Amino acid sequence: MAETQKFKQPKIKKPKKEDDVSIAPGGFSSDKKKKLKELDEFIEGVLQEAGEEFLDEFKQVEGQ
Amino acid sequence: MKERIFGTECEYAPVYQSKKNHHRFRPLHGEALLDYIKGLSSRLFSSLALSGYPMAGEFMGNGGRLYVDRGGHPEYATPECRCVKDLVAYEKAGDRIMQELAAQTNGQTAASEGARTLHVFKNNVDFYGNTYGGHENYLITPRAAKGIRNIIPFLVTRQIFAGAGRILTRQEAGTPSFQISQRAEFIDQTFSDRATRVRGIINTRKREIYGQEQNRRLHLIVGDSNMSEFAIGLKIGTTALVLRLLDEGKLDGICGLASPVQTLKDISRHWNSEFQMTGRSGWYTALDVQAIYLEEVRRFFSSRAPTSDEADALGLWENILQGLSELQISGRNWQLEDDPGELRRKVDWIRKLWILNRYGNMDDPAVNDRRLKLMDLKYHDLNPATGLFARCEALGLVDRMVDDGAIATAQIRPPDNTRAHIRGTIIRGAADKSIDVEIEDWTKINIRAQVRQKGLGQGANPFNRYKGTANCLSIRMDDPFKTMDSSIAEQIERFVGTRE
Repeated sequence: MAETQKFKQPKIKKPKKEDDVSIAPGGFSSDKKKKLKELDEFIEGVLQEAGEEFLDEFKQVEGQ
Repeated sequence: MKERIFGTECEYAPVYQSKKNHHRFRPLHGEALLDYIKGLSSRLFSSLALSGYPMAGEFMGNGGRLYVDRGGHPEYATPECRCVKDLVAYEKAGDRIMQELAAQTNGQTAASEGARTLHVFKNNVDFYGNTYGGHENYLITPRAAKGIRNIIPFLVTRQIFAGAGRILTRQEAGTPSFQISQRAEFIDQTFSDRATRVRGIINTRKREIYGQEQNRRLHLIVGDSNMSEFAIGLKIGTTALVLRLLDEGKLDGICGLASPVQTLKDISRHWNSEFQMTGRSGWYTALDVQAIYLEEVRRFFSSRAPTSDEADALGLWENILQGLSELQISGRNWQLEDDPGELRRKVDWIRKLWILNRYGNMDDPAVNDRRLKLMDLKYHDLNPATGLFARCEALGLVDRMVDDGAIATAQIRPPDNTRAHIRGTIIRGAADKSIDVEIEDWTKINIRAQVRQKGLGQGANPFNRYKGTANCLSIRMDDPFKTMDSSIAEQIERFVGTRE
């Protein structure tokens, strides 16, 4: 291990989905739930609108 | 060097997005692709004539520069900055300007291009594996330049908070996987004087700058372009802190990596991977190396007061490293399991991973990896109506380092504590007058008492300018710290008729 380790090693925790932990003790507020729902809907709309074929259109030249 | 000049350059990716069920763009190759990308950039910049931004050639009224690079990308360079928050505001100003130009272009071409819209992306790699850069420039001392090797472990490991994240598809990696850096896979050597094909962690291309006996330019092409304001600030602020110690000769022999380039790639592929260091026993992680540098910086400032900018960067660095020590990510499938420090609000790759996790597990054979890739790219779309980072910001899911007012100001006004102030003031002052201003480069301005070319409209080259010669006032700005003084202001007033 490192000779200089200034930060505590994290405790091993039971794996959990990030959404279930640490955002707000006791669960999400209704505002947070609303925002996450809005984000999910937004992402779905963006993906639908672009379509996977957009990947093929995303071609650039190497930068300088 | 207690006070430092720094700036960034960003190569953006212009892409036409066809609407669903319409004819799709067929990928081009070689020169045809280069011409096509240049054409998109020219179309984007043709909106400059209508944008109202004061320009002098490629230079802007905010002191920055807007141009098409050799790869055809629209590129924006911030003005010279002296504090981290300024740099963040000026880099984000570049993003806003690009998005405004895209919106104006789409508005102008709605009738002819109804089936597709132009989007500008701030990332570093396309779907096909072509890379383009986000570059950093720092003014350093010759002493720092001589000992520059001592900063390499820091640069290799800072991606744990400055990486922008990248998804690899089954076609690219056999199984969908995640990398924390966009640029790491494209770095080939520790040192290189080239910016393409053989890229270095440290770019050694020499540039003549003012006062070579006192100043050197450090040019970095190893970093990612960041969407997060905090990631930009962390990247620049922590690098400036480490350079301060390098200037003072305080990093001699700090540590070295056995294989810097391989370690850069390994960390990008497995953020907490372990590696060996020269002159030290045992195995280290990127977090360990960052802790070593942080400790040196703390020790340095235990006997001297940091500037407020340095103190802010130091505090942010400590918090981020603490947060990273508590971050838990499944090594099996890149599932974000715990983030008690809420780093997803500040660090791009963690926010992107959080978004990808909402869609599905990367080790699920049924997961649609092309959809993951689409989400990855759309994270960087500057259009607030279609960009995932932009929507996270609008929903208050990311932390801000500067406010919208500061960014709006940075779009039009130069910083007041570097030579960019002189450049920007002249460009702004001449904008509405019959005076042509020619900016030769970052260090020289010519002001001509001539009627400027008129009639620039949509489609015209906005960088065209009158090239006449008469009554030319030349102003040299060799010293990047020099700001407007009464002598310069009086000279300018005779030609431009303004003083700020």
